Amino acid sequence: MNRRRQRWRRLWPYGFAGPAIVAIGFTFLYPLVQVIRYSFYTGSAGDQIYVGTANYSFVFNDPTFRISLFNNLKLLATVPVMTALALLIALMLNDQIRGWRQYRAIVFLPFILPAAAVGITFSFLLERNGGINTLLSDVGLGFLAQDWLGSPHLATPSIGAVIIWQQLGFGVVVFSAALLGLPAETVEAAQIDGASWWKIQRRIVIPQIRGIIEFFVTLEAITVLSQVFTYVYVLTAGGPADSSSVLEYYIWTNGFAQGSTGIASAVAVLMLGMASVLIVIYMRLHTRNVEM
Amino acid sequence: MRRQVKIGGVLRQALMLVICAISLYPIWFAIQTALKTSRAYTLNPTGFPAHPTLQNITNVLFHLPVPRWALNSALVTLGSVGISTIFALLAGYAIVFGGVRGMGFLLRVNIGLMVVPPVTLLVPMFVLMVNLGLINTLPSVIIFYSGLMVPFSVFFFVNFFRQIPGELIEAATVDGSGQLTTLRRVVLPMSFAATFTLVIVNAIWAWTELLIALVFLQNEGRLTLMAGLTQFQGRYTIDQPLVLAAVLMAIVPVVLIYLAGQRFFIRGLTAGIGK
Amino acid sequence: MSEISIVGVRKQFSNGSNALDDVNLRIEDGQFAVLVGPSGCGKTTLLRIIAGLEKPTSGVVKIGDQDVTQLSPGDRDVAMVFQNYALYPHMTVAENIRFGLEVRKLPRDEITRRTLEAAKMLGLSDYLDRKPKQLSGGQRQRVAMGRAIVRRPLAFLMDEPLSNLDAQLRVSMRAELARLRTQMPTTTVYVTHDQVEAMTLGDQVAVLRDGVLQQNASPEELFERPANVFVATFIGSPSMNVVQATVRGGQVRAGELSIQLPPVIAARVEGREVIMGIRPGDLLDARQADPALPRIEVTCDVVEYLGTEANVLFSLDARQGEGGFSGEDEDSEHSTGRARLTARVGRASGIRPGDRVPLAVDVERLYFFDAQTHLTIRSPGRPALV
Repeated sequence: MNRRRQRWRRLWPYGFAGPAIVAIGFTFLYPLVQVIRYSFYTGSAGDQIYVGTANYSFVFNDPTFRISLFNNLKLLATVPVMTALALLIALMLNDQIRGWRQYRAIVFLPFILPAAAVGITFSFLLERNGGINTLLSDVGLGFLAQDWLGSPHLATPSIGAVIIWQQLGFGVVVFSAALLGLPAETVEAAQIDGASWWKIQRRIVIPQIRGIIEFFVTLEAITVLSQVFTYVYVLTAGGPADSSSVLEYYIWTNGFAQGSTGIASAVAVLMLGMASVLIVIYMRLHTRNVEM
Repeated sequence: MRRQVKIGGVLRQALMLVICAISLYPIWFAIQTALKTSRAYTLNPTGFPAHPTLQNITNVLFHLPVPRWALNSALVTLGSVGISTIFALLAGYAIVFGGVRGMGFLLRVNIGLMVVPPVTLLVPMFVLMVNLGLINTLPSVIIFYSGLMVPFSVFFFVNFFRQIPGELIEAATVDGSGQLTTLRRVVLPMSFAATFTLVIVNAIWAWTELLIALVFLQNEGRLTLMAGLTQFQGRYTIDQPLVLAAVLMAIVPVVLIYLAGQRFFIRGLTAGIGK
Repeated sequence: MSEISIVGVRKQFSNGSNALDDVNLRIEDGQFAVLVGPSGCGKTTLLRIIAGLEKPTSGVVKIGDQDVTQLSPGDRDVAMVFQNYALYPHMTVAENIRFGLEVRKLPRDEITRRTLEAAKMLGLSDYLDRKPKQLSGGQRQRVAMGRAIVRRPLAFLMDEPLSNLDAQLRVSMRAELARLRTQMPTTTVYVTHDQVEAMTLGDQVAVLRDGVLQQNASPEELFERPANVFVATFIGSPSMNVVQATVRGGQVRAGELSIQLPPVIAARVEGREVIMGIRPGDLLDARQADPALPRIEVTCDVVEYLGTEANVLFSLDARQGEGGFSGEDEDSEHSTGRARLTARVGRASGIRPGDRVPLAVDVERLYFFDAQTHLTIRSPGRPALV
């Protein structure tokens, strides 16, 4: 008894961390190992056949995969757009213009809404006879009306726009918080030196929150590469004719709608490979921040 | 000079108003459409509801499975947030105050896992749940959600606990307090606001998740609200007001919590960035 | 019985350096022992090892008759007062004080009785419902004390408990500590870097340097019979003057300085390389001193006027004695090549910077240390300086 107590006194941290370690092992490590294994097999659970790299060669030769990958890369373009916009808004709010707290609260609101709900709402706004086109013709800009989700070259940009709409507020809040933490003296010194507003922001303020901007960009890049399924599913369902599919959607259709776990796993592995670059950057940024 | 400042101010206010209008319009669009009949919507999708009707809302609340889905979502959210918070609380405490080998490594692994795309785990987890006979049950979703939330939650608690002076824990230890007692009576009361923040962030994530729910749950009666909404969207493509009334059901709880605890939200959701 | 024994305790950091090196120390039951030394000397580490918050790399800690080396802090029945008090911010004063008894599951009325008693003893009775945030620094300090007292432990461990207070409060809390001690004669280990605190509070004072115990003795013994140059210069304020010197033919020479020694003392150090030490108070204003004492004449650099007396700072064309405590700036003395000394004179001396000052040397009170080992040179069979 006493001995057991003594042991617990020394080893309790492992006991405390145990449940979390088990949860992590169960939800992350086991599937990460399995998904690599599955990517070399075909067939469904229980009766699997080893096929070597056949899944990978199938995927590389599948035009839909290439479209999906390309769409993810296209969506990456939303990251600089939302970063620049969010930064601009945060800088404006940082001058504590009247009502800046309320503005910040409103801009942040979309970020917390369920992506599915947002997507469905936008699917109606972006329909051929939907809200946006009606608004455009109401103000005499009817010629700009488009089939935003129904035409292959507009579907993915439209998805990107919805992503920006929802994620923008996150950037604003993140940058605002960083800006609020800056010492006022540097800006005041620059003002006394007679620098213009834009020059102060560009030369004094922005460099000081560079670390936070890098963080945001990395995190959003990971999000846009690997966590946009909901938008695609409810806005276009990958259509028209797979033109707006993304990797996640490709995994979903192959793995679950069609039941080829091998192909889905191969794509998951490829996606992990791409994401791991960003994950490593993300971890580096964390360690650097801890050391700072 | 003064004039210039003034013009700049007006310009900024105007810009912010436009941005806010863009941020709010889709929400307003959902609200006003939900109050219209399907016919009124088709005639004028963007017009103000001339003859507001609660028909869609009552339909959603009383005649369609939406409340059932909301209940499922609430159960899933409650279960997964509860489990992950407790696991993370214990692990965070051990990492910060345990002072034993391996905790730093655990934390690094943990930070990396925070950003692993869930979709890459989906196939093996699906197979596993099938083998465990849990597929198409709420526990399958609760288990997966709980695990997915653990890394961020651990990270969050670690960051918070690092601000607590180690002497407080040492004082309790010298006083003869066991680790669980110290956690319960010293650390937890000091972490109330932080824990609440984390619970909100995780709850939002669980409430809004779609992909896993879609894959794991198939019976109509067992869907979460998000999975249900997407079914709804497919089934009632031409009854936009009805669908948007259901969408409101998904949005309202989140907005209410947001209005009640805005600062917790902002603090929590920015926690993955930087310090 | 709750004497504390520390036997051969060594603590090695992960980088291989020693925080503590073979420390042996015995604290009798009821003694107030002070661990003192400059920052980084290992005194706090030693206290934490006694508390059980850190494990020694090797060695044994005993409290009473029990070897507690492997016991966790909670099983050692010691109470600790932390430098920053470590008060639980969410608990009231009363809850803070009670906590240690509650986790030990004492009966409820016993807890309440003891809490009220401790609060009364410390003058906290009116503040029991306040949170730490609402208290002054001195009151927080008292709560920290109360939390320890209420436990009635085998020993109190205090880690610089007064260092967060301002100077005035520190003096009054020091007096209060001494008063509490008469009421509760519990074995106490007290860590401080302040030698005045050490001398005024301690029954015994252990001086540590770089993890090595230099001397463990009563305050008087430390002051009168320091074991080595370090202890001699660390204890006492201003610090003892030390210069490198040689003794030939009954004369001690340090640079231009030359003093005739009484035969008894000369016999002890004749023909040796030594470090000679003299406390500032034993360099007297020659105009008021016994004319029989040997004299030196120095040039005053700085006068520090202290009210009842004044410190006269001067330098000598001699090498500063090695191995002494020199505050934070370890090598400033060596830079000039001259030894810096201080004499403490009466306030009415009227000395100004630049004056030639005649000083009388109280030769009976000179200290001699071996130039290599830095240890006090004692005559065989006789304690030093007797």
